[in-house]
Amino acid sequence: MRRSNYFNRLQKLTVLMILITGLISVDALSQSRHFNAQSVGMGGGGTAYIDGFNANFVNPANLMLDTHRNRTQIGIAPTGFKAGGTLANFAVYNDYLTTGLLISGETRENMLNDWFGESSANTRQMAGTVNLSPIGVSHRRAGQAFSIATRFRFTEDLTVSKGLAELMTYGLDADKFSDPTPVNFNSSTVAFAEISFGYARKMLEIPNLLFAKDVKLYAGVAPKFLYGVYATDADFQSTLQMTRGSQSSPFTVNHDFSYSLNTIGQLSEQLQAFEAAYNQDSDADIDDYVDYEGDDIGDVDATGFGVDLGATLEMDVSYLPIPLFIDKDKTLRLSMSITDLGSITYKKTPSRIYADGVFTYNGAQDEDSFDDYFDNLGDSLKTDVYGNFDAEQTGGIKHSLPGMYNFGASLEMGKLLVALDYGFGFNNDGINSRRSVLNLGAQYRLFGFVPIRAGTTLGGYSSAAYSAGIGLDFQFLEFTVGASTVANSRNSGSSATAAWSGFVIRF
Amino acid sequence: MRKIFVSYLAVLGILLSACEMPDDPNFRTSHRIEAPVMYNKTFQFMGQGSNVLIDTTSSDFDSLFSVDGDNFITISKQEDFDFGDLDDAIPEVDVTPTSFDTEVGEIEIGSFSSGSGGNLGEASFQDITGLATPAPGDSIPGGQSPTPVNIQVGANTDYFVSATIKNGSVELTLTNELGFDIDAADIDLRSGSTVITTTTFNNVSHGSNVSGQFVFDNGDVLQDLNVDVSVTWSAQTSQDNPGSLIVDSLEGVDLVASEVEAAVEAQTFESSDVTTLDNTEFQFTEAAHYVELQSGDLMISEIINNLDITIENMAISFPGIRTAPYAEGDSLVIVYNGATEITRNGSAPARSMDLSGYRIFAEGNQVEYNISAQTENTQEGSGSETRVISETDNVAATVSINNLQIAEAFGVIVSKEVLLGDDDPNNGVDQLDLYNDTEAELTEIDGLEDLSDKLDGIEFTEPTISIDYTTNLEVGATVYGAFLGINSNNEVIYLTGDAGSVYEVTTQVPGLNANGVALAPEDLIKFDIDTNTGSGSINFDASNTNVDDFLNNLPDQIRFIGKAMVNENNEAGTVTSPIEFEPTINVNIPLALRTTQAATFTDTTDQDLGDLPSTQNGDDSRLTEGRIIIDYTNGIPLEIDLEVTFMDENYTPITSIPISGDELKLMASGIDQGTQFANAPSSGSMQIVLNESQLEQLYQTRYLEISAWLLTTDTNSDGVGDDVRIRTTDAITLSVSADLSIETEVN
Repeated sequence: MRRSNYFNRLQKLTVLMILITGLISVDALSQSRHFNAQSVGMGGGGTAYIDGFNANFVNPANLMLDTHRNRTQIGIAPTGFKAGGTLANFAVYNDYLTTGLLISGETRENMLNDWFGESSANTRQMAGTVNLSPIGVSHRRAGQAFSIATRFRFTEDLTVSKGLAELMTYGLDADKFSDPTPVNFNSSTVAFAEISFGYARKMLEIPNLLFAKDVKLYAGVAPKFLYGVYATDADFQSTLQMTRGSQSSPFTVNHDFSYSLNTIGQLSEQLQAFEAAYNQDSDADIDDYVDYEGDDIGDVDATGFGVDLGATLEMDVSYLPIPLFIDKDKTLRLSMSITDLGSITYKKTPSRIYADGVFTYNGAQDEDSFDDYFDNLGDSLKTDVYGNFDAEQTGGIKHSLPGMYNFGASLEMGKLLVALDYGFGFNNDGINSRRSVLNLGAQYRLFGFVPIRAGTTLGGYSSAAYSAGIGLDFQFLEFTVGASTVANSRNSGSSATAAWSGFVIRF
Repeated sequence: MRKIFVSYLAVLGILLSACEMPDDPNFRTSHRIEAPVMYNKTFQFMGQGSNVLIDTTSSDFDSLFSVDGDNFITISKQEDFDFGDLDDAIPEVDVTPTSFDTEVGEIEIGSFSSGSGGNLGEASFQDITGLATPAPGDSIPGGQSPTPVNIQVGANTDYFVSATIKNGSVELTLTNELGFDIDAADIDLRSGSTVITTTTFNNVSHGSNVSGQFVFDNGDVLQDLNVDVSVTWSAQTSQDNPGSLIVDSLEGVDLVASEVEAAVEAQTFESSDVTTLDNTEFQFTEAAHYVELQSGDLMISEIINNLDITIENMAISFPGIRTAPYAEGDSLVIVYNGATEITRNGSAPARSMDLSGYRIFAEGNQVEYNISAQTENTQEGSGSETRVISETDNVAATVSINNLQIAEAFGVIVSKEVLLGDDDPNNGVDQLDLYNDTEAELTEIDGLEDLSDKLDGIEFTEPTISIDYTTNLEVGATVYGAFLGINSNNEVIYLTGDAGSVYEVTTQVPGLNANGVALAPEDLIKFDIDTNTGSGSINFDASNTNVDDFLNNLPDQIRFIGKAMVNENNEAGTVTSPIEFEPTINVNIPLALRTTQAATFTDTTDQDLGDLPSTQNGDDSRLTEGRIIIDYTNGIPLEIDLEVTFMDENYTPITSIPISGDELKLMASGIDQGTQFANAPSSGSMQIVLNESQLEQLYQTRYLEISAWLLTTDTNSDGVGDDVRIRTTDAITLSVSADLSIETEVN
C-alpha cells in the first residue's frame, strides 16, 4: 500500500514536473532543428531521443536506438509547420489592435515602440517553414543501422524596419518624416527537397562504467542530396523624408532607395529581358515582359549536398536511485549532432537586379502638363523610378542550409522520458538563429501506447514556446500529433508549430 | 491512470489557455496624407494643353479665339452664313415661238428650149417675099412681105408651156438664110392669136443672125408662142440660093413670172424674220448684250414644202445665236440638203438643236433668223419636166426656242427682289419669319453658348460683327434683313443700324416678320453688296450699329431673314449661274472689358466623389480633416472670388467652401493705364479647409458648382473696375498642397 501510494505520488510529481517544465518562460529564440510530432510535443528537441528515419535529420547516430520498437520503420508523409518571429508580436497586437483604440498620437508611438523599439531603424522578422517527408525507411540491426529518408522544405523569411511600419501607420506625415527615416524590408524564399541516406553503427560498448552499465557509443552520418525547387531573395533599403514648402521652396517628398532582387529561371529571364528592352526604349512597360506564372518551379537547375552527423552515448543507469523510479529501467542517452551542413546553389539563369535612386516629388511643376503629370505619375514611378533597374547575371543563388549544433540528453525511466536539448544555429536564415535555444520536454506513455508529451522551447527565433503532444504509439504503429505556441510574445515575438507523425509502421 | 489522463488534459487546457492567442482585430487607424499637388505651376490665361485656363483646343472653344501680335485676345468666331439662294436673281427669258412662211417669189425664166442654136421655126423665101425663087446672081427687086408670115415657135419650146409675166423680156434670135439682105424685119410675138409685143430687127444681112428683145408688161400671159414676121428689103442681087428666115431661140432676159408652167432653172429665194425674247427680267439694250445658255433647245417644226419643186438646199441661220467664240461667223445655221432636202409638195421632219453653251445676242430682245433656199433645176436630168409654179407657193414651219436656262447674262437685269432663304408657303408666299426654321438662317456660335451660360455682368467694349463675302454677281444688290441674337437665357436683341448710318432702315420692308408680326424698320438693318471686286466686307461696329449691345448679350444663336434688292438702278451688268455669294459672319469680341459690378462666372461640372470614404456611407474609413493650401501669383487683371458648392445627384447643395468668414480670393493684377494690360501681378496665400462634418458628406457629391465673382482691376478702389485688356500670356502661378486625414476602423 505504501508502495502504491508512493508511486502514485511519484506519477503525479512526474506530471507536475512536466507541467512545470512547460511553464518556465525564458526569453530565447527558436531554431530550425528538424521536428516531428514527438519533438514538437516535447519542446522541440530530439537530439537524444528521435529515432527511426527521422534521426537522419537530427542525429543519425540515433538510428541505433532501441526504444522498444520493432527494428524496421516506415513513415509516410510526416508533416510539420512552424512559423513565427519578432514581427509576430501577439502581445503588442492584443494590447493595441484588439481593444478599439485609435492608433494615433501617443498610442501609435507606444505601439510601434513596443513592437519595434525606439529606433526607426530597428527591424523585426517573421519566418515560416514547412516540412514534409513523403516517405522514410529505417532498419536497425545489432551493430549498425541504415535508413533513407526524403524531405521537402519551404522557408519564407520577411524582415521589416520600424520605418516601414511608421509609414503604414502614420501615412505621409511631414511631421513624422521630417528627418530621413529608414523604410526597409527584405525577404527570402527558398524551397528544396532532400534525399538523406543514413548509416549508424555501434562504435563502442563497455559493460560497466562507474554507475552505468552496458554503455554504448553510437555514431551516425547521413549525407543527403539536395534538389532545389525555388529561391528568391529581395532586399529593399530606403529612407523617406518630407519637407513642407514655403513661398520660396517646394513641398518635397524625398525617397532615397536601393534595392536588389536575386532571382532564377523564368522570372530572372523576364526581368533581364525587360531591363534590356528598357535600355533600348524607355517606354518599355514591365508588364509586357514580366508575367511570372511559376511554370519553372522545380526546374531551376539547383543541386547541393549536405550532411547530418552525430553521436549518442547510451547507458543503462537503472542502478541510479532516482526517486519514483527506483525499480524502473532507466536509460540515459547523451547525444551531440551537427545538422544541415552544406548548401544548395540555384543556377538556372540566375541574375540580380538592383537599383539605387532618389525619388523626389514636388507635385506638378511649371513644365509639366498638369493632366498628363498625374496620369503618368503611376507609370513613371513603376517604370522610370523604381522600375529603372540594372540587371547582372550572377553565379547563382546560394543558400546555406540552416546548420546547427545540437546537444541533447534524455533519460528514459519506464514509461517516462525526459529530455533536454541545447543548440545554436550557424546562421540566421529563415527560422534559424545564431542565438542559443534550450528545449525541455517530457513524455509519459500512458498505458504504454498513449504518449502524453509536453515541453518548452526557450530561445531561438521567438519567445518561449510551450508545447504538447498526444497520439497513439504502438510497437508497430504510430500516429501522433504535436503543437506549440508561445505564452507571451511581447519581447521576442510569437511562434506556432504543429506536426503530425504521418503513418508510421514498424516491423 | 484515468486520473493521470484527465490531469493531463486539464493541464493541457491550462497550457492552451495560458498560451498567447491573437484576438480579433478591433482598432482604428489615423493616416495623414500630406503631399504637394503642384509647385509654382503657371497657368496661362489661354493657350493649348492643360497648363492653361482656357484650352483653345477644347471642343467648346475650338477656333473661338484669335490673338494679335500683342497676344491680345479676341473671341473670334467665323461661321458660314447661308443667306439663301441668290440664283433667283438670274433672269428668266422666255422666247415666243415664231412661224415662218417663206414664198418662192418671182420665178425666173431663162431658156425656153433645150436646144442651143436650134430651130424653133422658119419661113421660106417665097413665104417672106411672095416672089419666085431666084437663082444666085438674079436681081431681086426691092419690096416687102405681102403679108406677115407666122412662125409657130411654141411647138418647139420644150422648156416652156406658159407663164404669167411680171416683168422682163425675151430675147429672140434670127438667122437670115434668105439669100438677100433684109432692111427691116418686124416681128410680133404672140400668145396664141394675141400679139403680146413687137420688135424690129434692122439690116439683117444674108447669112447673119441677130437678136432682139421683146419687153413684157406685168400680167402678160405667155402661152402657145408664135411670131408674125414681115420684112422689107431693097433691090439687090440674089447672093445665094434662097433659104429660110429661121427663129433660132428664145431666151428670157430678166424675165420673171408670177406663175409659170415650165421647166425652170434652180430658183433661189430668201426670207428673214425675228423672234422675240421676253424683256420683263432681262433686256438686251446693246448689240453686245447676251445670255449664255446653260441649257435650252431650238426646235424647227416639220417644214412643209408647198412647191411643186424640190428644195435641194435650204439654210436657216440665226446670226444672233452663236457658239464659242461667239463671233458673227459662229452663228447657228441649220441646213437642209442632200438626204434632208425638202421634196416637192413634201416636208422635212422637225429638227431640234441643243443650245447649251450658245450665246444669244438679241439687241432689242429680238433674235433674227434668215432662211435661204434653192430649188432643183427642172431643166436638167432625166426628170426634167415642166412644173407649174406660182410665186406664192411657200415653205412653212415654226421656229421656237425653249427651256432656256441661263448660265450667264450680260445686259440689263431688271431690278428684282430676291428672298434670302427658303420660302415656307405655310406662313404665306414671299413672307419670311425669323422663327420659322425653314426660312431663317441659323448660326450657332458654340463657344459663346458656353460663355453665355456661365458668364454674366462683363461688358465688352470693342465687339464687332463683320460679314465677309465673295461673289460673282456684277450687279449691285442691297440686303434688307433682320439679325436676331438669342443668348442661352433666351434673351433677344436685334442688330440694327444707328440712325443716320448707312445701315439704318427707315422704311417698312414687307415680308419680313417675327412670329407673324411684321418687323418694324428699327428692327432691321441694311447693307450693300459691293460688286466691283468680287469680294467685300461689311463691318458692324459700335459706331454705326448697336453691335456692342448685341454681342454683350452673348448670343449663342443668330437668326437671320432678309431680302436682296438686285440691281435697283437697272444698270447693265453680268450675272453668272450659279450666282456665287458666299458670306461668312465674323463675330469678334476682343477681351477688352470692364465690370461695373462683380461679374459672375458660374459653371457646374460632373464630379463624382462617391469613392470618398464616409461612415455615413457605411465605409470603415472616413476623412476627418481636409485642407488645401494655395499660394498664388495672379497676373490676370481680374479679381477672382471663388465659391465651390458640392451638390448631390439632385443638384441639392451639400456643403460649400469657403466656410463663412473665410475667403477664397485672388487679388487682381495691376494694369498699365496706357495699354490696359496687366503689368503688376499680385501674390497671396489661402487655404481651403473642410471640417469633419463636411468631409463626411462629400461622398454624396455628384456635381460641383464653381462660382467666381470677377472684378476688373480697380485702381481707384471705388468698386468699379477699370477697362482692362486680357492677353493670352496673362497667367496665374499656383503652388498647391493637400493635407488629408483618414480614419479607418478595423474590426
